[in-house]
Amino acid sequence: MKRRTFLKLATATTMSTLAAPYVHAQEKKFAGITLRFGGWGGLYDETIQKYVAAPLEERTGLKVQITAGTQSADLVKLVANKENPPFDVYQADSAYMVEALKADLIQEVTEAEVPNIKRILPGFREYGEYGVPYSVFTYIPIYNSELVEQPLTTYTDLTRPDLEGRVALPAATFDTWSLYLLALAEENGGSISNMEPAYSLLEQAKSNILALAQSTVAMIQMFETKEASAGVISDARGHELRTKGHPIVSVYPPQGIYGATSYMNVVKNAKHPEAAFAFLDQMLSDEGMLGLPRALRLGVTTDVKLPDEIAKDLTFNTPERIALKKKVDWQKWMADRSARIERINKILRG
Amino acid sequence: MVPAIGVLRYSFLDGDYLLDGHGFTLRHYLRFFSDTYYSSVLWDTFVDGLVVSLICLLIGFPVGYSLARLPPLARRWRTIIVIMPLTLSLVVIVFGWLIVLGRNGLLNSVLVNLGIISSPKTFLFARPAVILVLVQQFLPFMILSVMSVVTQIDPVLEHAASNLRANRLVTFRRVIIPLATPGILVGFNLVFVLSISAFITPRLIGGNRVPMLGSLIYERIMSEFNWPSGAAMAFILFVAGLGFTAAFNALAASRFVRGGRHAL
Repeated sequence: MKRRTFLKLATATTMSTLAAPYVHAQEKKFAGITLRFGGWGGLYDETIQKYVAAPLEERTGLKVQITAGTQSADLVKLVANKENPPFDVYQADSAYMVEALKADLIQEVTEAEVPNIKRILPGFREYGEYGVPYSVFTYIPIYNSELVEQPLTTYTDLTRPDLEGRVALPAATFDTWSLYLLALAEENGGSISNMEPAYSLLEQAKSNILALAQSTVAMIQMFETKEASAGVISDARGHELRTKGHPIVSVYPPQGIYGATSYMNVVKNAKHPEAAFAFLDQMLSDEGMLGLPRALRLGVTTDVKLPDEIAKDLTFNTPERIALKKKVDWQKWMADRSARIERINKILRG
Repeated sequence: MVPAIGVLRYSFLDGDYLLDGHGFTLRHYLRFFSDTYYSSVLWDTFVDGLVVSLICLLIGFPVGYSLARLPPLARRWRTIIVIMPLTLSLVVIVFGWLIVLGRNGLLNSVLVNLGIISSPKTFLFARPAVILVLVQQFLPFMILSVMSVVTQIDPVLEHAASNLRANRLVTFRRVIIPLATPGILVGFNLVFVLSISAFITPRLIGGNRVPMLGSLIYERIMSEFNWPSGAAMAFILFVAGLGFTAAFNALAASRFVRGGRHAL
């Protein structure tokens, strides 16, 4: 081979080698696009990153920027910046979906845009074409079996005299966390329209309440330090405490279990709606759907097949357990929130 | 000023949800003052603010004074130690206290080991715990305010008072206090204003059992999304805080500054 030919070939080979990743990236559908996702922090976001964002980036070149926050703070940010929203995808639970719709922040998502929607199980799309449900969680009573002699069987048991000063409950400002109030009402002859039985019970058992926790971390800490010996916490966090070696028992009251669904939403005026649809579709895929059950033992919303070692730890893992799930009128629950929060504040102070 | 004017404007809007307010109404103010719950929380907030400020003054004055009288190099290092807690995130500090004050925490361990208590007690989620954490958070402001003024007081004045046969107590009361009053007032005001507007500490350390107006405002705006009502509560706290500090400053100035001048 002539020297000139060799140099030409070597140059061409080097250039194509160097340019290959760039050209390859350009071929990917969302190369150069960054999707902004309002996360909830910690292991939750790490799981979304691992099972949803990373595979999607590998396949489509889409980068996902997860900003940890809370659904209430994110909602306020979206309301304040409707024309130029800070997120493309907003997460909300069943209760906050009411607020997101009321503030006209989210757009409809159909099967044409997110094909995996067809895999969602019946009953999970509580808001029609709005919101893509991806996870189920419950707030159930738990207790430390080393500290509580007589097992708890209902939400009402949290008001037992033997638990004086040892019960940790979520603050009433957290709408889904505070479904225990509805449980207390319904277990004692009340309803969502008549919460008096719950308030009356709390008034009588006020001395049982150690604190109303303002965050999941605070709640977990109270059980880890044995400050609290009973309370209400999400099924996922109860499992987390057990895996850390704490003798925590989850209670599934025969009168019913209260919980909610988590949704992902494409924000109105989102910068990259197509990328957001792809993100939601990946979330509903087998790969995306198995992430949260693996990491946090949260329930699924699609027909995905769960491995037995995961399924055995989930709340809704048998037809009997599923039958216990209570339906909540979220519109009514959210409409009464101010009055409910004020009432609880007054009870605790009084 | 612009955010404050915005808050004032929102507080008169007739609505209960986010930015949907319209028109003009006084009902958010009327609701606050007609419900004894809110006025009692406002009262407690001010009492807590005063208690925190007084404790900070009692601890902060001697520390600030001694720092001011140190040689510059020694003062620099000690000042860094005083400032260090301010470099930490408030949330980190609060979670640290949750561990220290918990049933398995340092405080309970020490008290049990010393035989002062027989079994661990619940210190968290009560007013003393909230006050303790607020004092720890805001003490540096008092120390720095006192120190900055005392460094300006010439030590010769203290020697002069001593030569005039004033004992240490009289020198302290008639020389140091009047001259340090501006620093004390600045520190007291800073700590008081920061305490009455605190919301993270009452929420996390108080566990909703120790309501302070700051945390109620946060709840009203961030959880209930009732911005007009939250704005009204914020404006009430602002005006009440401003009025209190103005009255307190006027009283303290007339008591100490004028008295000090006569004494001198």
